[in-house]
Formats: sequence, structure tokens, C-alpha cells
Amino acid sequence: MTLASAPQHTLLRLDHAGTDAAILSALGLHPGDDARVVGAAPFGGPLLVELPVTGVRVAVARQRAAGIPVRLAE
Amino acid sequence: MSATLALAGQPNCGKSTLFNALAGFRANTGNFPGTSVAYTEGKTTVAGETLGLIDLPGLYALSAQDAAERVAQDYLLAGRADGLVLVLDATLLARGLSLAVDLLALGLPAIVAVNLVDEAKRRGIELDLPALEKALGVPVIPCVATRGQGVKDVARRALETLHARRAPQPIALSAEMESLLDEVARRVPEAASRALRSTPRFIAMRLLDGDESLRVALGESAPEAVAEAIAIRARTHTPSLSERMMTERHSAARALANAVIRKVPPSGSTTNNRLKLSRRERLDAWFLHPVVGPVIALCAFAALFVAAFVAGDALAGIIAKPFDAVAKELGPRAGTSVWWALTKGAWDGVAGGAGIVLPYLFPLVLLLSLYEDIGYLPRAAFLIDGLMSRIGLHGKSVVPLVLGYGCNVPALVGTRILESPRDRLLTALLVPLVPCSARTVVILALVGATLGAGWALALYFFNLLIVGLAGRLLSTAAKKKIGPKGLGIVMEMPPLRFPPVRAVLRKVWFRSYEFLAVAWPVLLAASVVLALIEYAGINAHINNALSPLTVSLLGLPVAVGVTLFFGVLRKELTLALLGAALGTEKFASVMSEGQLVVFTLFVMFYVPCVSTVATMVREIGWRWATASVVGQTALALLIAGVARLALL
Repeated sequence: MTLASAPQHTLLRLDHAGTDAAILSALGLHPGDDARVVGAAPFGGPLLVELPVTGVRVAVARQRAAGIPVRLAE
Repeated sequence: MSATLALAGQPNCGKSTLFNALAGFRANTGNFPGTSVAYTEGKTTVAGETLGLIDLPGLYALSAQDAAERVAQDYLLAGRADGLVLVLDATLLARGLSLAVDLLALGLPAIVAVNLVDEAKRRGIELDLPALEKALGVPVIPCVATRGQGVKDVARRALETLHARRAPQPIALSAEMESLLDEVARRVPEAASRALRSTPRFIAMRLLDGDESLRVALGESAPEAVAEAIAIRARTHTPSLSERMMTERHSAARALANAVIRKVPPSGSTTNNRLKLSRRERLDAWFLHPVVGPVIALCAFAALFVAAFVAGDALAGIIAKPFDAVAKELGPRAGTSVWWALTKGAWDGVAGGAGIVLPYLFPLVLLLSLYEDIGYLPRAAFLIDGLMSRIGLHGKSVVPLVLGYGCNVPALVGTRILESPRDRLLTALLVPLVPCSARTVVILALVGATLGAGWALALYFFNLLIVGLAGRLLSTAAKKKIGPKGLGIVMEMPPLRFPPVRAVLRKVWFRSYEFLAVAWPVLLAASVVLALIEYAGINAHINNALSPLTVSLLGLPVAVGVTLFFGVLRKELTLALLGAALGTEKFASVMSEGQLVVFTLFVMFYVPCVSTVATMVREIGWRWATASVVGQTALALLIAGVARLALL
């Protein structure tokens, strides 16, 4: 499952690596962190991803989100 | 000046607000990542000693993703600062501390300013700052920069730290990583470390992270350290050493944050505080709603211009009257002697600024500042990213494009927040098409005041359509010449914030001051020059020279030629000088409705002002800047020409 295909408002665990990992990590989204998709922009726009622990919210383009593997958090 | 302190931190942590509180209002502020895209210099006096201050653009990490981050990184790595004020957001301590892992390793005397402690408290975050101070080995000072709380302490402790030359203690990573760092650090010669004004540990960290710019800066001064770092990186594959360092930084920062953060129920009047928070959250949910959000965005956009028009029109009506009365008296005398011509010119310059430009400028700047400070711009970028992608642009482009409604110059510099050179170039080519506050004043005072607010608003939506079409055309052309679009937006969504009224008013003053100090004197001088060339009869030559454009092509009165000529200096001049050129500020009495629309459309799109052109040359190079000026003028001719055919 990827961030783009994950159901909204479900607690997920980020599992990303590679180039995007550095960008997302700098923004506070680290591999192994829990996150949830809390919204989506219209017209196929980005997803709004929230980290419940810190409250950080990051808009991630769907194309990028499709390359970020996630799994359901226990 | 004794020493220079650099203010560094992650985007949107309040560095510029703290800088302004310390140095007086100099840096632009706003509630969105990337407000500062260039560094601002200032100074402050502490205990009789003058300190230089540098407000650096925010950077998430020392691995610059965009041009703005690169500015901050290059400044820090150039060793130009004598000390560091590391600004952390109290609500995002762990993330800020991951940057501290790198920055404190620079070895500069440093203090940590923990900003937004009020917001943290409201969210139920309690910080053990003495524990943080002990762990970092540097003074840690809580502050609320927007309200000026703790700012004096920051200045005082920074000075003490500079005098004591106390270096921070590094934030420890894992034993394995520390051993790798040590392997490289002990191979860094003291001379190389001194030349870069950083510690061997910092150099080792950057080399292991694969920082090419540092390797270039080192040159041949530390060959053994460079070779060792290359060897270590080569034998570390999955995950790569850069990824491991990133994880290590994050773990160390999180462990430190966990040790000093205590989550408690919100203090004070609990119900009230919770209510405040949930109101913001509810409002934000509407702002970001996929259906309601775009409707709000459209309304916000329309409100910006309708409110500016209504308030501006009312203000202009009041202010312009006494100026008009004097101008009426001066009018007949202007042709009698050079001194009367000069007086009339100077008066027209003063009247044009006070009676026409300022009344419309002030409400527009006020609303735009509010949108920036509340944090609405990234929300607009989020909502519109899908549409922008369809025309081949980036959602983040919305931020500089909206800033362009204030002034094209900072908007062009603001394109530095875009990571990809392609997106940056395309956005920079579109920014000058956005009507800045000066051109907005022309639209509101000419079309709005004469034909009604509906016409003015229609021109804005027409402008949006043109920006969209131009974006589509440029991105199609770029695909062939520059390369395809990147993967799309990754952008932090800052929390909604309601800034203190004082802070908003100071910002409005700061922005209006740019007009008062820069544009108004130009307007005044141009007005005097215009009066003199009118007196000497030279204006007729300029008007005649431009008549193939103004009269033959656009169907305008011959007298507008000189205003378009001076309008290249500042766009306000076209309006302020139009009154002087036509001999009346009741434009509808000498120009038909169609002519007013054609003139306004031409002014909206023709050659950008000189400051914009100069900034374009700096940001995208003279070739693209020239292409932009030529293309824009051709576009203005086409649009105004078609409008002439339809309306005249």
C-alpha cells in the first residue's frame, strides 16, 4: 500500500526511503513514524498528511505519495 | 560593529519576527514556509554595544532543496558569522533540534531562542528549558517574538555568549556514528578547520553526508579527511550513509526532545483555551475542504479587490478633494513661468501619491498582509495545486504569484522556494503578468471608479485567465526545451495563526513605507520633469513619437503617450501623470469608457517596471528577462488591440 492509496483518517506507518525520504524527513516525516492522510485537495491535488504525535501537516503531491510505501500501524 | 550574529532555524519558526523585534522592522514576515528567501542585514544595540544581525532564510536541514535554503547554507558555511542564534519552534522542538545537531556542530558561540512558547502552552506542551540548556551547553531562552516577550533576554544572552566565546557541546549520535565521525575528524588539519571557521566534527559530518559544496570549499586542504569520508561512504550501501545520518539526527533530536517535553492539559482557563484551538481547527477544516475551500479561496480573492476598491474609493474621495482644489488654482498658471510649472509638477506628484495611489494601496496591503500572516497562502497553494498541475505548474507557484499582487519584486525573489529550476523559471516568467499593487491602483482608480467595481473585478479574472493560458503555453514549450515537470508539491502546512493587530499594522507600515520612501519621490520627480517638458513643449514630441502605438493601434488620446513612457519607471506614474497629461483627474470626461478599458489593459500587461526587470535579470538571467519583456509587451499590444477592436 502507498500513501496515495491508503484510506483517509487511518493510522499508517511510513516506510519510505531514497531521495524523497530526505525531503520528507527534513519536514518531520521520518520512516517509521505514524501518520494519517487527513484530507485531499480538489482537482487531483495533493494529499494532506498529518503526524499525530507532533501535529505537523505536510501537503504531498499524489504522484509523490504513490511512491511512499506505508502499512497500517498496529 | 563588534560582531555579527546569524539568526538561523527552520522555515516558519519566527526568525524574521525575532529579527524585526531585535533590529526594527526590516525583514518580511509571514505565516508560510519560505517567507524569507534572501538574507536581511540589521543591527541592534545591547548594553551599549552594537551587534550586526543577519536574518537567514529558513532551512529544514543542511542539504538545501531550494535556492532559499542554499542562501542560508552558503552563508553559514562561508564562516561569516561570529555567533549563532538558533531559533526553534516550541511546538516542533524535535524537528528543530534535528537541525541543531548540524548547526551547533559548527562550533560557533550560540544561543537557542525557543519561540512560540505561548502557542506550545496553549497546545498543552510544557518544556523543561533548563534541562535543554544543560543538554546543549548553550543558553536557552523562551520567547514570543510577535509580542516582543523574551527578546531583550535573547539579545543580552547572545552578547554574553559572544564575549565568553563559549562553544556549544555537540549533540551525541550513536557510538558507531561517533566513531566514523572521529575517523574523519581527526584527519582534518587545524588550518583547514580554521579556514572554514568550523570544527573538525562539523566538517566530518558534512563530508560523511556527501556535501559537495564543503568538499569544494576544503579544496586540497584536507585530502586525508576527504579520502576517508569517500571510503566510508563507499562501503556503506543500504541504507546509504546520508540516510543513516538523517536517521541518527532524527533519533538524537527526538530523544533530546522527549527528555524535555511534558504534555500537560492546556493551562489557564482550560475550556477557553481548548475552545480557541478547536475554533482554529474548525476554520482550517473549512479552508482546506475540497468543495468549500475553493469557494472560500475565490471569495478571499474577490474580497481582496472589492474591499480595496470600496475602502480605496471612499478614502480617495476624501483625500483628493483639497488637492484637486489647489491643482485647479495652479493649472492656469503653470504655463506662465518655469517656477509655476515646477510648482504645479511638484503638487501633481504629491497629489497623485496622496490622493490616488495611497488610498487604494493601503487597504490592499492590509488585506494581503493579513492573508500572509494568518497562513492562508499555503492553503491556497494546497487547494489550487491540482489546477496548477494541469497547466504544467507547481502548486507552490501560487505563493509567489499571490505575493505578486503586492509587488512583483519580492514575488520574483520568492520563486526561490521552488525546488526545480524549471518551476522557478516558469513562475518567474508569469509573475510580471500579475497586476502588482501599483497596477491594481490603476485598475481600481481608472476602471473601478469610472465603470464600477464589476468591471475591475472582470479585469482581474481576465488577468487570471491570461496567467493560466500563459502558464500552459510556457509549460508546453518548457517540456521541449527545459524538461518535464517534477514530481510535485511537498510543502509544510503551518497552523493558522492570528497575529497581534500591532504586528499586522507594523507590516502594513513597512510595506507602505516602500511606496513612501521609494516610489513617491520617483513619482514626484517624474511629475516635475513632466511639468517641465510640458512647459518646454517636449511632451508633444514624445507623444507624437508614441502616437503610432497610442493613437493608431490602441485608439487612445495622443496625450497618454508620455504617461506610458514614464510608467516604465513605476506603474503608479501612468495614473498619477495621466491627470497631469490630460489636465483633469475626471478621466471619464476626456476618455471614453472603451478607451479607459483599453488603456488599463495595456498598462496591466506592458513592460514591467524597471525594478521588476532588474530583479528578473538577477533571478533568471538577462536572456530570459529580455524574452519576458518582449513577450509581455507583445501580449499587451495583442490584448489591448483586440479590446480596441471590440470596444472602440
